[in-house]
Amino acid sequence: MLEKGRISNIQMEFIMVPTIIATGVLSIPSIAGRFARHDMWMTPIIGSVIGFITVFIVWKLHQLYPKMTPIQYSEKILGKVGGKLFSFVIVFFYIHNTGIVIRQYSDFITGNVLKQTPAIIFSITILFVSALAVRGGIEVIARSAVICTTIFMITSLALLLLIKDLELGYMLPLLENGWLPVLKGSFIHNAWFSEFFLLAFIFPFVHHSAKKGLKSGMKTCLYVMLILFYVHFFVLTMLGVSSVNQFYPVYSVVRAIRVFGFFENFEVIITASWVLGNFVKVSVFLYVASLGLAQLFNLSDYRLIVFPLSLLLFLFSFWDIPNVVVLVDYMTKIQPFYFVSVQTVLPLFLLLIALARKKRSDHV
Amino acid sequence: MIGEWSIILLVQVLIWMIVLFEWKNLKKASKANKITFASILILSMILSFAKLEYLPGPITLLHYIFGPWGWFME
Repeated sequence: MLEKGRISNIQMEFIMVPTIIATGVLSIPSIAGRFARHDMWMTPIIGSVIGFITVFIVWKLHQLYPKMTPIQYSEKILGKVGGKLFSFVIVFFYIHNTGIVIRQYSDFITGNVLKQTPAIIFSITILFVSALAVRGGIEVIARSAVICTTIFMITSLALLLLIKDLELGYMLPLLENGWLPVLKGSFIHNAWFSEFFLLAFIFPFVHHSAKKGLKSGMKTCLYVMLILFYVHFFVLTMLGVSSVNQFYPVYSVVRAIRVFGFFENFEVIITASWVLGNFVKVSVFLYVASLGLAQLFNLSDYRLIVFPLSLLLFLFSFWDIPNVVVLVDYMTKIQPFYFVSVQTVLPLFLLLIALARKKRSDHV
Repeated sequence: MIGEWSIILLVQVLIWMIVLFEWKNLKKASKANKITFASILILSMILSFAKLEYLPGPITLLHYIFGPWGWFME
């Protein structure tokens, strides 16, 4: 067993919430809003369906093969060659995806907050901190996630100070162009919600996950949906449809917070706490990538490859992404199909094959 | 930015720092661990020499695979 730590269900919820929303709150509102416009507040609700489905698939697989990660059970389900191929796809997916997460993070900070500092400083520092957490194991990630997520969530309450400036009229007319644009907008959310497949790597290390795992997974999905709904609602009612012209509408909304004309510049505090959320996200992705890679190559310890992998991820964060426009184009046209097919459809096939095998072995 | 000499130098420095940092664990590690460790670092070194931002990579490949479905999202 590569990982000896054990965490509780509540810690798992604390890990998973920032893992989905840390980059989600940045990019989704502008992309989903471009399709759904006035109706963008509905998109997280419809988009979360994939999240619930993914949690169910992951939990069912976990029930069939407890104490195993997808890298291990895919070999039992698909055979040696098929399992290795599946694992390779998953591990490469997470390595590449972590690179993109880091790129989104450093692009946001250099583009908005610290404009003179080179982006590599942010990529290297977040990777270094996360790599230290990952070397400590899942327990260290879980404990730091409890603190970081709490701070991250508390500062997000600052949006409530905007209540007096909201213009509910921006939500009208309802469903002006029918359901199709809303469905397209929620398809963007599906990419983020399908990241619940990460639970497959965390469930084996959770106490009583076979009993309570499904409930806490579903609860996490619900929390993520509510938070995204909260953010979308504020973006839409504050900025209106013009929010879709910005890369980071949430940041503009936060900048508008003003209390008694005296307390301003809340965005600095919120960005600082968002960095904490992003730290959890990068740690989880790095953890899954290194654990997956170690299990794929049958290594005795995953800790040794964490730092080399971080260096590779640093380079992956630049590979093939010349600028933020290419990144947004990728997130609009490629990412929903890519994420849903790798993280929801592939595991669904895995589950169906596993169930069929179990049925056959029960008959015999 | 990537591909300039400073980045190549930075990656070299980081590689040596990682090797020094892990030296104790590396001596105890099995052969498979050592090979994976070295190959990831060598791969990073090779990548650092290229003008990475313009090097066709995973996203170009994904455009080939999922591009035909992209029209749904227009």
